Amino acid sequence: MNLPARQHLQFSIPKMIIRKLCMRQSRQLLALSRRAPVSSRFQSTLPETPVETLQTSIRDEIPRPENPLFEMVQAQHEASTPVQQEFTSDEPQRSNFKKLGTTVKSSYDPEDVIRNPPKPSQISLEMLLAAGTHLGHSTSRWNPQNSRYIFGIREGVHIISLDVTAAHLRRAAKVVEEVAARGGLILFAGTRKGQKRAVVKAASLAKGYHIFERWIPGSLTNGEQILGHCETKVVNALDEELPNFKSDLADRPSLKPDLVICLNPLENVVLLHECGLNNVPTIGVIDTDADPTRVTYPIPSNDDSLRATCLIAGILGRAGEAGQARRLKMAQEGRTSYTPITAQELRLDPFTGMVPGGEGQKK
Amino acid sequence: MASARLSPTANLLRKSRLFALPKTLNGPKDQTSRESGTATLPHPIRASIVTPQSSLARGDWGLKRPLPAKSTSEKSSRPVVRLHALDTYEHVTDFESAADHTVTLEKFQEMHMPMSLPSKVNYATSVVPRHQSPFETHLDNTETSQGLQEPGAKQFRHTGPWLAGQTEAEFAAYLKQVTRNKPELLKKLREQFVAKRSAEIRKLAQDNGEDLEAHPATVTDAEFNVYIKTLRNDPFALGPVVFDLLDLASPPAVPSERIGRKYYQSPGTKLSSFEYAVSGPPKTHPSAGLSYTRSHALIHNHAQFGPQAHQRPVEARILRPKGRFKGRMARALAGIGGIAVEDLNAMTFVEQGTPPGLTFFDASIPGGGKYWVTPIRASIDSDGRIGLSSYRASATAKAPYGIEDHHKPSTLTISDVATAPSPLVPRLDRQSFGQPRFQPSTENRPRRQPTRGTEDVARSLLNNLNSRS
Repeated sequence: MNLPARQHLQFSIPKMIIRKLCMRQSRQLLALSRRAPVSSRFQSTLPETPVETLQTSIRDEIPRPENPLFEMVQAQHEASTPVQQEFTSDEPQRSNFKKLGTTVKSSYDPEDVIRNPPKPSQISLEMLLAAGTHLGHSTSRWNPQNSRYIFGIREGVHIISLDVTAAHLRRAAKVVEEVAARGGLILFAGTRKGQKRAVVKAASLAKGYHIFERWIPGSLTNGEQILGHCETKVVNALDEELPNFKSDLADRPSLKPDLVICLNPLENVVLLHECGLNNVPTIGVIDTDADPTRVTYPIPSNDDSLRATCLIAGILGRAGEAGQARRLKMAQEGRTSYTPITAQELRLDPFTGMVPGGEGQKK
Repeated sequence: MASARLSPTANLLRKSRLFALPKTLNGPKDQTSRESGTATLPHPIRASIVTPQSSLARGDWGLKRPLPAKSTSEKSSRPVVRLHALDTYEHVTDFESAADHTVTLEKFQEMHMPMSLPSKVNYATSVVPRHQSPFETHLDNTETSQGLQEPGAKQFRHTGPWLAGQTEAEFAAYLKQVTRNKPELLKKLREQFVAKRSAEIRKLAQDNGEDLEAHPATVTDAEFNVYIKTLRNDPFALGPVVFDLLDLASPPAVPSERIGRKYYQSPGTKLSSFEYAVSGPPKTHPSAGLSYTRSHALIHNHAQFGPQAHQRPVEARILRPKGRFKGRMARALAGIGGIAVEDLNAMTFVEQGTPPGLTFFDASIPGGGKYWVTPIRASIDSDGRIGLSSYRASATAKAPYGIEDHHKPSTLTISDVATAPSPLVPRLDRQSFGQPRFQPSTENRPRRQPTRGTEDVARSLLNNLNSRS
């Protein structure tokens, strides 16, 4: 389906441009035989390289002598001034020398961790060390429950063991992937300044949801009041919306996430508490001063360094992406890793379990 | 081999840059620099940290948490920080700007000065002491250097302490430590005695024309005890042996009339500079890593005038003019590239062409008193301070660069009024009796004319009467 449309596009663009060229310039070109302004950018292309450009296509289409545009087209290939001639004569040598020298293969770009986060399979101790996940808090700030994650003390701070972090991060990634593969709703929460982009990126990768501002207390325990007006939709296994069921969602309670990932548990105690009350599993970045029992799956790591939290969010986002891809692939093959709800069940009243407006309702 | 036994985490952590930061050095001992808590220390004691631009924009310094832009990237285009604590109880990373030392180093390196060994610069005799680089092979030795075996080799460090600089308690602690090591020291002394004895035997055999290897030196316990006894009876002989055995830096020479007939003589100093013998061995290498050039024999080229004898003069800020300070006459103090320097030429009594602000404080100079100097010598004293000496830049040094000291406008200029053709002189001191101190407005008031004869006197009198009524 897609292919013919694309081909059509490819053909149509040059034609359109030619038409415009003729409309704009043909009258003037016929009137005065002056050279058209030549943009120097065209000169930089190699004359030898057989690139399908606008000029060649024009030349092929229109016979040479009769064409009034011929002179203009030809002018772009001839070097007129001595400077241009010199430039074009040096071109082969320049392209020869382009192969020389070194290329920097791997350089650190801080933007990379947000734009192109690593996969869970790429987790290495070096990566975690470079992100500074091992730097805990001042020893006077520690929570003794974290002692099993702590490697030692240096310069007054606790050092979190890198391999423990890596193991817990891999486990958390697996959890995210499996939840995504089972069609669960994943919520990424990172409410510190600077975490916004990483949280949004991770949520978009995992097709989940994100919070980068304050968690409104009661959004889970009192969801009717706080999130009641929010839009919900019914989708099929391929994530396509089914608008026919819109009316059946009216009486449904607000949705609850199936997994919450919290990048700063210290500030989001309320969120984690509500998750605990509602049996929502949580993943949290636990620094040495945080309480690891607040979350279901702790990731012992530095939660103050933006680089560290961005890396963790990115890895979990990638894990979610892999899970979603797996789920959609299975759905295309007609399989699901969860028991899908039937249309009949969807139409039933969520509270009574009866057909709405039927006899059951009256009782 | 040790790293193979470590866990992968430990191995990585040991190699990480943050853990490779050197330990904090002890601060300077003297209290004069500690008078102010914010004063720049004479030498850095913590490492300076920089970060690449891309990470700087995100505040990422590889530390526990990002550093705030307000005190780093918004304050300076090339921020450099020094770290006090990675994390504190208050959840902050304690850091401050290290620009005070890094910029001073940059400024110093722009002066193109080689480091010399310290030497007293006597300004009265206008003879600059010879430059002696601390990198010369016979001077650049520690107690473990191979070059120390050469005859006449000097060193800049001893294993033993500098006794003259120790407090009573420190000395008592050192004595206790020496007493604990008595068996090893006696063993070492015995080896020295054997070496001395064998040298004597070889000398004797050489003189008599005998076989050199015929009589191996053997020392019995009795002989050794006799040797110790003779040493104890003769302080002149014991002194050098003790200094050699404990590897102590020799104390400064004491005038002989000040000490008794019998005293423990100290051997000649082995320190590379006489100044170090007086004030103690240096805390750092005598170059302190400020400059690695060995000589000052550079020719400074001027684009227009060619090679110059002097380098481009450096502007010095007058920190304290010459005069009494804390009850004693003091030389003027100037700041050259962030280093406080005593002005050398200020000792001469007849001063001509002294830049303004140097002999007394002058508030009228715009931007504060400054003058141009030519640095001549830089060294590190035993406290680790930079000792820079400089001369006022000569006219020939300043001429190619078109720079001049500030000239005060001369007070002897003749005013415009005096040179004007009119003989009238404005009366500036005249102010009518009831007139307010500020002039209300010059527009609606009759312009006061300069006094001229009796008519004017009468007119001004009338004016006065009018204004009073």
